[in-house]
Amino acid sequence: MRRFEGLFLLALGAFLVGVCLIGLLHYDYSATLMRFPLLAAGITLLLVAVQLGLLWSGRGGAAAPEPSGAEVSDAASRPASSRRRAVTDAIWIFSVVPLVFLLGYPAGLAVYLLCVLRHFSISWALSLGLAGASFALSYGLFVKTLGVSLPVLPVWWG
Amino acid sequence: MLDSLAQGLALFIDAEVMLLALLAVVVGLVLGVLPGLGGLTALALLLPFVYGMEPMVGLGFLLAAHAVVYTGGALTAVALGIPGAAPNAATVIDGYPMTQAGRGGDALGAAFAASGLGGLVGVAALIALLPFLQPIVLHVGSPETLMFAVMGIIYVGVLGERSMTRGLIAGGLGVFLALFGYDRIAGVPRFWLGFEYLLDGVRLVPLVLGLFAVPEIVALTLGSHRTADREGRAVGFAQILRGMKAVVKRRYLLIRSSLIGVFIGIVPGVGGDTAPFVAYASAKQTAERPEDFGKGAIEGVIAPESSNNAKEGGALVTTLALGIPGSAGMSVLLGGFLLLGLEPGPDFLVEHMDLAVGLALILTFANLAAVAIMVIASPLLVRIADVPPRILAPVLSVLVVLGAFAYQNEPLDVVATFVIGLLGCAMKTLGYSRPALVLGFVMAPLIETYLHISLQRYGLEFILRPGALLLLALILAGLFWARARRYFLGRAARNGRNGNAQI
Repeated sequence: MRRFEGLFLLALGAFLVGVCLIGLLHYDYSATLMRFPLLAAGITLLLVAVQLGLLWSGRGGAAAPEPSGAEVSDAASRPASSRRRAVTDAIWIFSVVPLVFLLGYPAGLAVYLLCVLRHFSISWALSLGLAGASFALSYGLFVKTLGVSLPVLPVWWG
Repeated sequence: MLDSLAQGLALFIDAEVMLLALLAVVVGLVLGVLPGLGGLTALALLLPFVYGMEPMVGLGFLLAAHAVVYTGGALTAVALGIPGAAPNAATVIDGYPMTQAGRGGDALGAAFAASGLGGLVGVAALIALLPFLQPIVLHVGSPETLMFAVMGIIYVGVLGERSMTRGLIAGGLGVFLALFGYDRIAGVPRFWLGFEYLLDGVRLVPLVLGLFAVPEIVALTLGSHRTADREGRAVGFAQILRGMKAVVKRRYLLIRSSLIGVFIGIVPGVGGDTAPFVAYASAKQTAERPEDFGKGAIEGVIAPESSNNAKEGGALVTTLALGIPGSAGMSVLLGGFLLLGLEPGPDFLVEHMDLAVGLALILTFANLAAVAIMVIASPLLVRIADVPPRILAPVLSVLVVLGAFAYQNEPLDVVATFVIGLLGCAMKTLGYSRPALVLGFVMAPLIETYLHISLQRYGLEFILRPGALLLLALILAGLFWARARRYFLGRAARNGRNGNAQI
C-alpha cells in the first residue's frame, strides 16, 4: 500500500508541476494570473514532499480508508484468482463509458446493464427486466418526456 | 429577523418546494436503507438534478434527502445489524440485540422517534443561533472571509481525518483543480490545454459524482454482501408505538444526546461518525444500568439516533453563517450553492437570511416526514436492503451516467465523472479526504478573489488585522488539536492492546 501511495503522490506532484510549467512556459501567463495557482500548487507540493518523506521514513502511517457502511473485503488479503475476478468486475463497471459512446445512451445503458448483470450471474429474467427498465428510463423519461438531448445514436454515427 | 422568518415561511409554503422535498425524503430514505450508501452518495447522485432550479427548491431538495439518510440507515442497523451508513454503526450495538430478542419493533420505534425529534432539536438550535450570527458576519471584511474559507478547508482536511498531511493535500488539490478555465479576475482562460471542454474548468457535478458515487459503486461490486437473519424482522405497529413512547419517557436523554449532536455538528470538520458514538458513550456513562448497554438497552438506540439527526442542524449553522461546512455532507451542499448561483461565505446570511430560515423549515419538514414514512413503510423498506450489491452497483452506474449527462447535456461530463472516479477510488483506498477536496474546489474562487482584494487594499498587512489574526490563531489551534487528538487516540489504542482499555 505504501508503494501505491508513493506512486500516487509522485503522479500528483508531476501533475501539479506539469500544469504550472505549461502555464509559465507555454502560455506565458502573467505573474498576477499565476500568483494563486503557484501558491496553491506550491503548498500542495510541499505537503506531498512531507508525506513522501514520512512514507519513506516509515512514519507515514498506514493508509486508512474512509469508513463505509458497506462490507468491503480487503483486496490485499484475497487470493490471486479472487483479485483477478475483482479487477474484471471493476472493468465491467467502468465499461459503461465506452458502451454509451459506441451504442448511444439509451441502447448503451440497456446493453451495459444486461451484460454486467449476466456477468454477475443474475438471472436472465431479472437482467432483461432491468435492462428494459433502463431503456424506458433513459429513452422514455429523459429523451421523450423531459426533452433531455441524450444522444440516442452512437457517437461514431455522426 | 421577524421579516426573515415570514419570508422564509413564504419560501417554504410552496407546492413545488414541498413536493420536491417530499420526493427527496423518499429518495434519501431509500438510499439510507441501502447499506453503504450514505448521505454523501445521496447528495452526489442528486446534485446534477438541481441545476437550473430555484435556490430554495434546489437546496431544499438536497438538504431534505441528506437530512433523512441516517433515519433510513437506522432501519437496517436495527433490523439487520447492518448500518445503512457509517454514522448508524453505533445504533447496531444495542438495536440489533433488541431485534434478536424479539423487540425489533420497540427499537425501530425508538430509532425513528429519536431521529425525528433529534432533528427538531437541531433545527431549534439552528434557528436560535442564526440571529446571533447575523450581526457578527456583518462585520466580516475580505481578509476575514479569506481566512474563514482557508479555515474551512484546513478543518475539514485535518479534523476527523486519520492523517493531517493527507487531508491537507486533498484540500490543496481541490483548490488547484478549481483553477482550470476562465479566471474570475482577469477573464483569461487558464490551463485549458487547447481543449474546449476545459475552458469552463473542471465541473462540479462530475467531480462530486466521480469522488463519491463511483468509489461506492466499485466498493459495492467488490464487497461481499452481509446477509442477515430474517427472524425477528416482522414488527407490528403496536411495538413501534411503544418504542416511540419510550423516547418521550426518556426526554432528557434525547435532549442531551441531541445537544451533543448539535455541538459536534457545529465544530467544522469533526465528521458525522463521531457524534453518535459520543452520545452513546455519554448515555452509557450516565445510565442507571450501564451493564445493559450492548445487550439491547433502548437508551443505546435513542442516544446515537437523536445525535445523528441533530448534528445536521448544527452543521448547517457554520455552513450558512460562515461558509465553513460542519460536516462532509455540507461540503457537497456548498457545491449546490454554486450550482444555484449562490456564493457561500459570510455574505450569505446577510443577503439570504430568508433562505436560511426556509432551509431550517425544510429540515423540520424532512425529519417529520421521514418518521411518518418510516413508521408506515418500514416493513416494505427493510426488503430493499436485501437487494444484492451486484444488482445495485450497475443500476447506480446507469443513474450516475444519466445524472452526469443531464447536468449540462455534455457527453464529456460522463467521461470526466469516471476519470475522476479513478481518483476517488485511489483517495478512498489511501485515506485521503474527499470532502476536503470538494471543499477546496468550492472555496477556491472565493479564496482567490478575496486574496486579490485583500492584497490590493491592505497589502500583506491584511494578515495583521485583529479578525484575521484571531482566525489564524483558530486555524493553528485546530492543527494543534488534531495532533493532540491523534496522540491521545494512539495512546488509547496502545493501552487497549495492553489490556488496559476502559470502555
